[in-house]
Amino acid sequence: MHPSKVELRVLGTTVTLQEHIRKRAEQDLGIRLRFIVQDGGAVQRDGAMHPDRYELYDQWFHSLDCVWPTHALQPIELARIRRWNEVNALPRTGQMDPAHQATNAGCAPADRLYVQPDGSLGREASERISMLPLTHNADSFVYLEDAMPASLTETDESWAWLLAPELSGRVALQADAAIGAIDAALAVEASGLMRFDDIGNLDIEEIDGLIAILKDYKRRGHFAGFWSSFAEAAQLMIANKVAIQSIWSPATIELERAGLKFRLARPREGYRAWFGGIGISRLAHGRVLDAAYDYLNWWQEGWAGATVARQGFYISNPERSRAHMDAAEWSYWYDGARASADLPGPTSKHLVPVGQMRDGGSYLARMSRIAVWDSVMDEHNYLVRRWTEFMRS
Amino acid sequence: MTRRAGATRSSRPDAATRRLPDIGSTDVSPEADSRLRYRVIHDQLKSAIALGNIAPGLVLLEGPVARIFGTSRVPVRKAFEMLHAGGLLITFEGRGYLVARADGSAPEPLRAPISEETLGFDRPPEPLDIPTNAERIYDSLEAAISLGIVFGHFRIDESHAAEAFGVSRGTVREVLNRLRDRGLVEKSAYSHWLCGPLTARAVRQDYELRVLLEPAALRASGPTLPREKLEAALRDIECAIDDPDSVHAAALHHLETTLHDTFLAGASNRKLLATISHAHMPLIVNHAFYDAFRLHPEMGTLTEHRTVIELLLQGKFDAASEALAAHLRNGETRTRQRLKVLAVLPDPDLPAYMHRIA
Repeated sequence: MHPSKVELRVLGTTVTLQEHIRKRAEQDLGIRLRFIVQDGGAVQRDGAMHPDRYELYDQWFHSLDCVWPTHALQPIELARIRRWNEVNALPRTGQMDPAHQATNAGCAPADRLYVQPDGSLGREASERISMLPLTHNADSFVYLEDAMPASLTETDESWAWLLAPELSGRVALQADAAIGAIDAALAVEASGLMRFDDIGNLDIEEIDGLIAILKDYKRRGHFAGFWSSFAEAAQLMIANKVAIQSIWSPATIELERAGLKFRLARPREGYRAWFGGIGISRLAHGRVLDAAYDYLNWWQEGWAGATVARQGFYISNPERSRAHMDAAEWSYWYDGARASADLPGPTSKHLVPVGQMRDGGSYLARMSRIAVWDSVMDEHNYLVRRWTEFMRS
Repeated sequence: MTRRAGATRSSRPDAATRRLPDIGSTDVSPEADSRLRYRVIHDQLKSAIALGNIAPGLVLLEGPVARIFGTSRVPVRKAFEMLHAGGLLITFEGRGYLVARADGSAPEPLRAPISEETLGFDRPPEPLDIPTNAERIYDSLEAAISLGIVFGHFRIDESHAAEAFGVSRGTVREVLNRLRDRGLVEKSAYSHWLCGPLTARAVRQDYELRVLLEPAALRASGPTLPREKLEAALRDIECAIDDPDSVHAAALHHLETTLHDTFLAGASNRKLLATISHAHMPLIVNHAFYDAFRLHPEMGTLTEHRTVIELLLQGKFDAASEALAAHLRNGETRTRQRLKVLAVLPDPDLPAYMHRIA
């Protein structure tokens, strides 16, 4: 009798819970994987309240602020992470290298990485971590080149474009408060409408001011929509309703496929960055816990890093994935070089045509221009209520 | 007001596990009804008349009777009306009521000063330490609003609430005014009662207040604390540290009350203690958090308690006060972190008189 296969339930969003990744991991690890795909808010709620419903929590580091205090996750033993010494400096220290200081505005992943002696999370290195840092990116907004008035394209790309009167009625934002509100705050500040003391941690008056401005724009019909999944984001542009919107890179694959002529902005104010990782439910133990560690280690073996690179985002130990890409792919995705051949997408033979160049440049160039990390602010509870009010207005 | 004071004194920040009263229940139980003022007054007068202890014809006026019972005139008026309906009092040309004869007939008015004696009481009636309608619904409204503000911004519908509780709008207004004094509700320019959403700032400000005041109270109270009490508290906290999983809701509440309430109570400045007891926002956060997650206390909370108690036992009152301040500062961090978590919780069931604005 063979013991039955271990099943792991992974709770997360469409960012990383992709069918081709699930199949490959099942095959490589000899386990069963069930992906529970929800929007970010639902993932965080179930993550905090129902550790019995998953073994692995696949989410953003900033969401730990909503989950870690509930003891839903167990600390990860670094001794069981095979490639930990390959993880680059950004998630561990908060900067790419000594020459490129990244911002600490917002929820910097390094501040919630290591488990401290009192059980809280902090930057001080220890033998246990909250989540294994894996995927990450610097996001901004995407726009259709042909729809931009000269008054804008003559200047550097700026978050202010999202509020430019010339684009009224053709703008979209993302609906999630922890992310959408920061994009909106970047746009409001870049437009000179308000200044924030700490854009990653707005106070009550700043939140009220931000929401008042946004409601005013909404009333005047400035926003054509709000999206909560890549598919919705892509559809808004493909349907030709929206000319400019905040975006996550995997959604641009859809735009690429639809043949749209778009650019991913490199805003002069910097990017909004996020860092994803995987944590383990406190209820996982025995064979299931062993399998959970196997799955974490599998993510750092290179194949997964290569497949996310082909969607425009990065892995925490990139060198290991280099072996799973050909030289032209690596140069395009990580070095920001011109594509020397047609390049494949995550599941398709052709995605990037020869001669194309990635917006924003190399890994280092993009990740060292972070204006703010996705954030769960001190007044997050207040922000969420006010943001909901704006969404309903 | 003694009852309210008692209730707020247990309203302690890290006293996270004090259960909120059942906010769904607004019915008045028969038992509660029998403790209503007008009923107590009615019953006492009725029995005195039946026993023949009050002279027939005695003119009863609301004011003097209210003074004897130590209440407002409202419950006296209601008791008179009931006695009148029962034929024990009768109306006449003048102000007030006459006490009827045993056969129900009307005697000549007898105008005499009203005292315990003329009312036939052999001793002054017990002070009516029973809740008014307002006091009766205070806890329910406070609990509903405290829970609600964690989850959003609400308007409180005065007439719906009055209907739900079976009281007048005036009573609801009285309670809301009191809750406004405590900073739980506010009144808009259009005279709408509004509450929430709970902010990190409100929590921080309450902690600021407590960090300033609790150490001062402990410095004053510390020297008055009997050694046995401190030793018992130390034993309790050691047990909790040895086996934190055994610390259930009631035990945690006891630990918190001991440090933040009992140990401060020796301070002679009552105003100081009352102000401390009003800094209750952290309590709201911790309630909602522990209700949702049923957690055992953090080890940090327990060891900080132990430090304070040990210093008190050594007679180092200044150091104990400083340790208490440090504990409160850490409590602020823990509470702020818990508040962020609350943003992901699903909405609870709230009474229909709370209308969501956002």
